Amino acid sequence: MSHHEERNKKVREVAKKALEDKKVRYFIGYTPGTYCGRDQPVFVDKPGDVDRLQWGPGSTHNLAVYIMDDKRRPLKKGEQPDKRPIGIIVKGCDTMGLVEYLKERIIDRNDVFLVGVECDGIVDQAKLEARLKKEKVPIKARLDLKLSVEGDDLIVDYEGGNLKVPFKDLMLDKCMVCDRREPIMHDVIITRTGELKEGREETARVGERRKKGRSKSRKEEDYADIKAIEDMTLDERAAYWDKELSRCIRCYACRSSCPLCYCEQCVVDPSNLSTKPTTAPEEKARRPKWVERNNDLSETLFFHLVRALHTAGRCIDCGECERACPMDIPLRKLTRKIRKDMKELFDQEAGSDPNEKPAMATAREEDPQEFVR
Amino acid sequence: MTQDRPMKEGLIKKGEVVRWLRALAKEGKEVLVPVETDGKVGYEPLSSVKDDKVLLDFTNSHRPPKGVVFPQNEVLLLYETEKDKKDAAGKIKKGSLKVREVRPEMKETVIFAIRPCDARAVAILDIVFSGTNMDPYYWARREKVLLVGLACAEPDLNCFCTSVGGSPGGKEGLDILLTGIDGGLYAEALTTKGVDLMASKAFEAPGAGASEEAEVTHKAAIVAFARVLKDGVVEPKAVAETLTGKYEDPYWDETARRCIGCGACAFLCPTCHCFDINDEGTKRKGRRVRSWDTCQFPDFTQHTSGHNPRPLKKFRIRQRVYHKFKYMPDNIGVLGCVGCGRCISMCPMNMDIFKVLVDVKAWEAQAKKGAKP
Amino acid sequence: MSGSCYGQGYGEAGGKNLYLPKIAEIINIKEETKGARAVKTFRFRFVDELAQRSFSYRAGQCAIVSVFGAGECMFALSNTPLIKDYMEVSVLRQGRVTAALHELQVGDTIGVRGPFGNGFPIANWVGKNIIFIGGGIGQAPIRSIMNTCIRKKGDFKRLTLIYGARTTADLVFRDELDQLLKSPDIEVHLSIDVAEKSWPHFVGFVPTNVLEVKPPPDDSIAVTCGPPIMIKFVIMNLEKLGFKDDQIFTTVEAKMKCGIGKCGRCNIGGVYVCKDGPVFSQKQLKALPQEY
Repeated sequence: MSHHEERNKKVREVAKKALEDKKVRYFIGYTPGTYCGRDQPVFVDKPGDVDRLQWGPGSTHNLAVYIMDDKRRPLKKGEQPDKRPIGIIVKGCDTMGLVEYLKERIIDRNDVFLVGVECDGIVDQAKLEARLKKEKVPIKARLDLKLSVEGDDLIVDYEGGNLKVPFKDLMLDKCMVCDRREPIMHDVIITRTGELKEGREETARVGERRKKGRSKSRKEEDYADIKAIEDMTLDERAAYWDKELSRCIRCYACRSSCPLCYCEQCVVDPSNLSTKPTTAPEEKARRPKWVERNNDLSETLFFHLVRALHTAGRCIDCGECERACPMDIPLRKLTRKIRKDMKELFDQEAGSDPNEKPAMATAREEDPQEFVR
Repeated sequence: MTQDRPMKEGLIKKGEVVRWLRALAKEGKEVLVPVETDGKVGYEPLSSVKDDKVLLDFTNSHRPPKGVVFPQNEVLLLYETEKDKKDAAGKIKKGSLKVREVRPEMKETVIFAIRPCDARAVAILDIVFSGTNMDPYYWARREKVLLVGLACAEPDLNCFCTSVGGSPGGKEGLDILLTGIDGGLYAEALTTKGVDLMASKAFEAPGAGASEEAEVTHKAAIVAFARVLKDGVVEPKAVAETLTGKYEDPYWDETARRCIGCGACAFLCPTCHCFDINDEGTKRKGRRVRSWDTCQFPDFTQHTSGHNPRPLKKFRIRQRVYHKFKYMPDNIGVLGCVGCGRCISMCPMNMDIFKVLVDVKAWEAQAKKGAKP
Repeated sequence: MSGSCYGQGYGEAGGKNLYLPKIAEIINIKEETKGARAVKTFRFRFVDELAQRSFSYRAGQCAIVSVFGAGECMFALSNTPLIKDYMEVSVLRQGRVTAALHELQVGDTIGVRGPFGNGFPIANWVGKNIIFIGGGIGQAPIRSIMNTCIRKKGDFKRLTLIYGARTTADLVFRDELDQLLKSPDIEVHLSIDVAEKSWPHFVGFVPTNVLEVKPPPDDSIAVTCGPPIMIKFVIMNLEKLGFKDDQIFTTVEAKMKCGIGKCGRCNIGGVYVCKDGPVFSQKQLKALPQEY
């Protein structure tokens, strides 16, 4: 059995057991999507449905984004709150989002049953589709692809043929610089060879790893593209961002796909989900409108820059915002700039230690204070 | 460059196309042409494009050219309350409120190489924005827009126009349809405005059999739809009927679970037309703007009282499907979908409206089976 | 489909711009209730005489009022259309636009566009008993149809009003109700939810009062408007009393923006509440998805 099949088998075993033992309310995982070998998120409620689950190079999504929805779901009449956790498959990057949730105390560790998966990288769908076009793979064959990894290569199986491509040619940019291919927090972990290891990993190990400087698969966070923008003159930078952000259609895909954008009342999102039947008229009448609904560049700039700042100390660079954006706006350049600043100014890295205090809610003696005169 | 008498059909060599378009531009028309920028196709003014950048070979543009007749933001009116004045006797005369309509003013605009699905979408918007309550802003633009269609030679991966009453050689909404054949583009003027556009020496008489050759091109594209090859054609009338009884089906709950509630699908859709109206400015001076909105946003139907008729995602995605495939056909006789597939390609969580149609088709088959004695 | 509707202009010569409000002046403001659930009735006239003279509407139709800078809101026109000199809307202070409206004074100007919607099918009710059932601020559209029927009382059989609110402080059109209690033209039954000193009328919810009053269903039409929960139980009780679905009418509330069935916001099933409603019979409502 290839290690892909072995991993899938283990994912299904773990989910089945957890559902049969009624240890979890339901399972969030990945299932084959509808085109080009991508996966789609799937919610499995019954042990009989676990065969839908799989995990592979098409498992792009950060499933942690569904947790807040679940937390906020109003109870039906007479429904008692179910205290059992949600089972959820997490890659290394996804886990960091959960670390932030714990830091911000909006979930309890027992709210989630984490099935960690060791990851070799995820396919960039846009790059894959371009490659399939280039290789003239027949259009019908492109619908049903099977993706698998062998060594350093990505194998694309389709009806009537296959492709073998160096994986790094078709990998998501964020995976190329990933340093957390092993999730740091989990209740069970499925290794890349398909072994199932029990036991919770505590993130204290992360602190050790950081102190030591490196872990086996760690790569230097590559900020070369950020530095390139930093080196631009102010005018060049303004022109760059005006050009990129003028494409924004304010669909809020970035905000919706970001696990850390969970605020019901968002400063830059005109829709206000905190209005309930009990909200006082006074509050609704006086609520300031910070940004208009139109997508004039001025409003859009405000949206993106403020949102980026609000990710300070929180953004884990799962990259979902940039992937979700239908207009190919390089959103990660904004958020990674903030990450770079947080590292340089405060030696802080989001998503590493749930016991840390949230970065922007902490003041230390050694924080830079040149602005204080 | 005018001919003695208008042509109904013609042939234009591929090399002559840009010259023809530049001549139209010289007459004072705005000509929008498909060009590739950063790997994405979009419609740009010919005046800013080099001859060799005008595309004749592409599947479809990234965004539909819907914005030409229905822009994302549109100023409806300006308001201003004049300052209070003191008259000769020292009495304060209250400044009067002035409200001024802002009329969209547009040059005659030719959208060149619009695909039949997107043109059909404009024809659908024509119906939506007319009726007993004509929308003057839409029509001020629409009256000035001419659509020169380019029949599809090759569908994109997620195209399904033939499942919603369309065709790669469809003529609805177009002033001219161009189809690639041996020797150039076979041109058919479908309206008097189209006939006027074709009054150019660039168009020769077509050879015998040109129209049949064009049919061959259309047919070749019709059999190349990957989705249809895989799942068969969907019959839209049957869809509307089947949907009637499936309103409360748990299918909508299950399908909605992975939706993250962004607006990517609606904002990339050529037929979506919902909008919001907001005042921008102070109580004394400002403007009233309408901007694109979507039933997928959580606050779309939310009352100020806090009551929301569609509080959960399942209600909202059900509304999207029902509105496009049942309410619109029942109400105004047209489907709200042209099968361009952009919503499928752009959804970050792989929501797939064609899959929904296939599932509805399966329900219909089930119901028929059950109905047999 | 191509080439359709090209002929219809929209400017001075041709069609109207239904998005463009006309300017109206507030000529009277009446405080109906105070406090957290403050209601004010605004009486206004178009500044342009011709606009005022040519504005005609059916009871149950609505107008969209603009407080420029804050926005627009759809309100039921709460006075009877038989009065030509002015229009009235009764506004509960809830959010940005209604709060801005509540801050205006007599003499201030607002934008008004309309009338929108379908209105009550009063022509079909000739010769019938009409029972008006209102709760809280829901009395606003009821007042319009009720006063129209009272003025045309010869066309109808018995007129009845069953109206209630949470407390006496929440009753709207109080002075008019006191007059109606004395009027021979209509039988009035008032209620408040919880007993108060010197309240001589029924104590209890409006749906309960409906069962108390027991209007007979024969040859009758019931018109009800109020909080959704009240409407639900009123309709339930009317059905208990033998009213059929096509005898019960209500107005549906929805979030609205354009008012003319274009922006999509108030779309429920095959209808737009702004254009095809807000008046619906229970028979029509049952055929709609229950998303309101």
